[in-house]
Formats: sequence, structure tokens, C-alpha cells
Amino acid sequence: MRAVEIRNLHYTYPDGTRALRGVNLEVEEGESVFLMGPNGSGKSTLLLHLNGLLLPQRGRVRVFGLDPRNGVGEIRRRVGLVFQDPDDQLFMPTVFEDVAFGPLHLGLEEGEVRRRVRKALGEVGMRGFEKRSPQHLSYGERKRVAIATVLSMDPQLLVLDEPTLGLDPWVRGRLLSLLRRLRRGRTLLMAGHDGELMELCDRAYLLRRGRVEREIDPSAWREEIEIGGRGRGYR
Amino acid sequence: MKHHFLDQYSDRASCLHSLDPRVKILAFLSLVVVVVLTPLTHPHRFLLYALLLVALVLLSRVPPGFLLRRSAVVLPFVGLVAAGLPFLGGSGGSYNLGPFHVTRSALLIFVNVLLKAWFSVMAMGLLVSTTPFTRLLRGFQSLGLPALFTTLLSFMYRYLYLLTDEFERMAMARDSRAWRMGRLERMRITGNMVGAAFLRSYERGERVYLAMRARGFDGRIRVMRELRMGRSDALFLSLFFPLLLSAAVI
Repeated sequence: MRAVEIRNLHYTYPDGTRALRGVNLEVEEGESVFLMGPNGSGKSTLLLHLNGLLLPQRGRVRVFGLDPRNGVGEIRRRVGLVFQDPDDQLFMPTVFEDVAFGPLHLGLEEGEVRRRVRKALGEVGMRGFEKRSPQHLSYGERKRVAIATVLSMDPQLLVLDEPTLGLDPWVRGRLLSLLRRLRRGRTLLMAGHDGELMELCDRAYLLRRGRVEREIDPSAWREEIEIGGRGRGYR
Repeated sequence: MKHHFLDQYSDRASCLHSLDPRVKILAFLSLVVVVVLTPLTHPHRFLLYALLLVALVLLSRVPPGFLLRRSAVVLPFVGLVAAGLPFLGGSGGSYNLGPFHVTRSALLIFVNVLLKAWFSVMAMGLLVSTTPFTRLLRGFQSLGLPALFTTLLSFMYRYLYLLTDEFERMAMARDSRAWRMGRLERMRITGNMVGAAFLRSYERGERVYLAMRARGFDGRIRVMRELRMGRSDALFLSLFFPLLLSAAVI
């Protein structure tokens, strides 16, 4: 089954910004896809549609065959969305409560919630931090906990918005190998402009000015940035 | 940046710290109620309350100086009461304090307010200094405070730090570009900063709400009950309440 199918999607913000102008995108189950795009190209707006947080104004969105206009509960159960800023993602006073938030609101019973939290924190290498407050964690640690908060919901599709943004090369390296592990057995959709991040995906698309402009070769990110630097294909 | 203006010392280890937050909330709130309800006609009781407080402070290993400094917040209020004293009538003779005449009953009122306010603030300060804020909230919640209320407070706790950080960064940016500024100009710019901080936190609120909905939040807050009373809690309760009650009736 297709994990994501987007046809001619348009979205305009209330202030008149036309963020999406006819996006077409397909993601097969089990593959990892990268959306390469400069700042302001509509990446984040597009990702919000995958979780039913924004509903299509024009065009159609199907997530695992489900239409978000017919209810978003099941979609949110299957899609884990990790926001760009971990301080938006981590809103509870302790790491444990934050990672437990998703499973609790799925209506799981407490023993299962505890098990899920343990597993998710183990996956991102943050076990032992349960009682800490997010404000007392480093940026890289917060990024990893932010990923754990959706892993605990056991999503089929993991969507990450600029997961490596603002990380130093050492922390970034650890996050990349974490993502490499996470893609096994899951569908992964990531957005950003980190070449090495793109390299670990099966396919990549160039998003520009609210449209998917073309498919690009994930391993050829150096050339793409080169082209962009000369003003072709990028803004 | 680390801030600790709410629950400093609450992460220390002492037998008071390790108690169940509900036990501490009940104990300290009862202490406050009993102190406030004790008439000043029994001054020795206040001595006993003070001894009880001192014992608790020693148990908690929180520096007494810190608690005393913090309890100074009552001073402005007590000062307000003191300012009204010369205008109070009453019987029992009067004292000359400089240009003012203060009656004995007015003085009693003052001592009453001072002691009760001070003891209460000490008790609450001790509660907050021995219980991390999150555990305190969970305690209040399982004692029946609505989840909506505790969740709002927990958001406040989480984002207050971010907001102060943001404000500090803005102040630094201001000072690095404008180190010579008239007072009026400075006030104007600070006003702008407050506005910017408001807008930023408003936008942050929107994004946090999105993040909550993305993880299944549908307007109903669900929380886990994970507090468990142990033997030390029972021991504390069985010592504290007899002591408090006997102090209140002797």
C-alpha cells in the first residue's frame, strides 16, 4: 500500500502566503524519502498535512489510503511527526511524561505506556533521563527525546522536519546513525537541506516554491548544492 | 541556561525530600491551617509550632538562611499592616512609638499577623524546597485538583524558563548594539521587547498546540497516576499529626 499519496495539493495561509502550489508526492510503504528544499519552500507546511494538522484546501491527500477529511484519529495513530524545534515538541515537565503523552492519549493502559516509554527511550539512547526536565537537557539530547516522543506511539510512518538542523558535527553524526537504524522496518519521510541526511534515503525530491520540482539522486547532493549555488533550480 | 527560582534545593536528598508529595502537601497545609486558627491568647503554642518548623527544616537539609530570606516576602504585607496600626483603637493601654500612639490590642494584631504569615510562608517554602515542582503538581492532582489546572501550571513551569531565556537573549542583543542609551529610549525599547516576547510566546503556543494534537491530544488531558505511598510516608504521618495536634491543644 502507498503510505502517502498527494495530488495537486494547494495551501494558502490566512495572511495570503501561498505555501503550496500543486504538490504531487508519493511515498511507498517501507521506503525512506527526502524532501530537499530551501528555506521557505513549503516543506513544513507540506509535512503538517501528513498528520491532518492542516487539511487540504485544494487537491487530495491520502495517508495509508485514509482521507484526513474523514477524521484524523487513525492517521495520527499511524504517523509520527517530529517538529523542527524540540522545545515545541517537548511540552511536558519531565522526559518521562513527554514520551508517555502520545501513548496515553492513544488510550493505552498504564503498564503498556510504561513499556512503550522504556522502549522508545532505549531506541534513541536516552534511558535514564526519565525524570529530567527538557530545559536541563542539551539541544542534541532534546532532539533525541523529541524523536522518542513519537516512537513511543509506534508509528508506521515517521515524518521528521529538519532533524539535523543546528546540531554540531559530532551530535549530528550520532543522530544520523540513529536515523539509519530507525528507517529499518519503517517508512520515513524527512525534510531539510542536509546532504548526508538525504544520502541515507532511497529517494529524494526537490521542493521549490510550493511545488515538487523534480526527483533528484540522493547520493548526488553535492552536485545539487553546486547547481543551487549558481542559481539554477533553487531560489 | 539553568534557572532555579521556583524549586531550588528540591532535588536534594533527605527524608523529607523522599516523602510522597501528597503526604507533604497534607502535612504542610494542615500546619498552616492550624497556625492560622490558633488564637494569640496561647503564645506558647506558637513556640511549639516554631520548634516543629525548626525540626522540619533540620530534617530537610535545606539551608535555613535560604528559607529565611525567602520568607521575607511577607515583610511588605506585614509592613502594610504595621502602617495602619496607629489608626486602630482598642483597649489595654497604649505605647508611645515616636510620634505615634499604638494601643496594646493593635500591637497584638500586628504580632498575630506577623507570626501567622511568617510561619505559613516558611511552611510553604519548605514544601516547595523539598518537592520538585512536577511532583508537587502530581501530588495536587491526585488530591483532586483538576487536570486542566495542573496541566496549565506544568506548561507555565516548562515555558517560563524558555521565555526568560528568550528575554535575556533579547536584552543581550539590545545591550550589545546600544550600550549608551537614555532612560526614556531604554524604556521604549524594553517595551518593544515585551511585545516581541509576547508575540513569540503566542506563536510558540500555537506550535506546541500543533505538537500536542499531532500526538493524539483531543482536548481531554490524560495523566498517569504514579504516586505510591510507602512505609516512610506512614511513619511521617503518624509522627507529624500527633505532634501538630498536641501543639495545638496544649
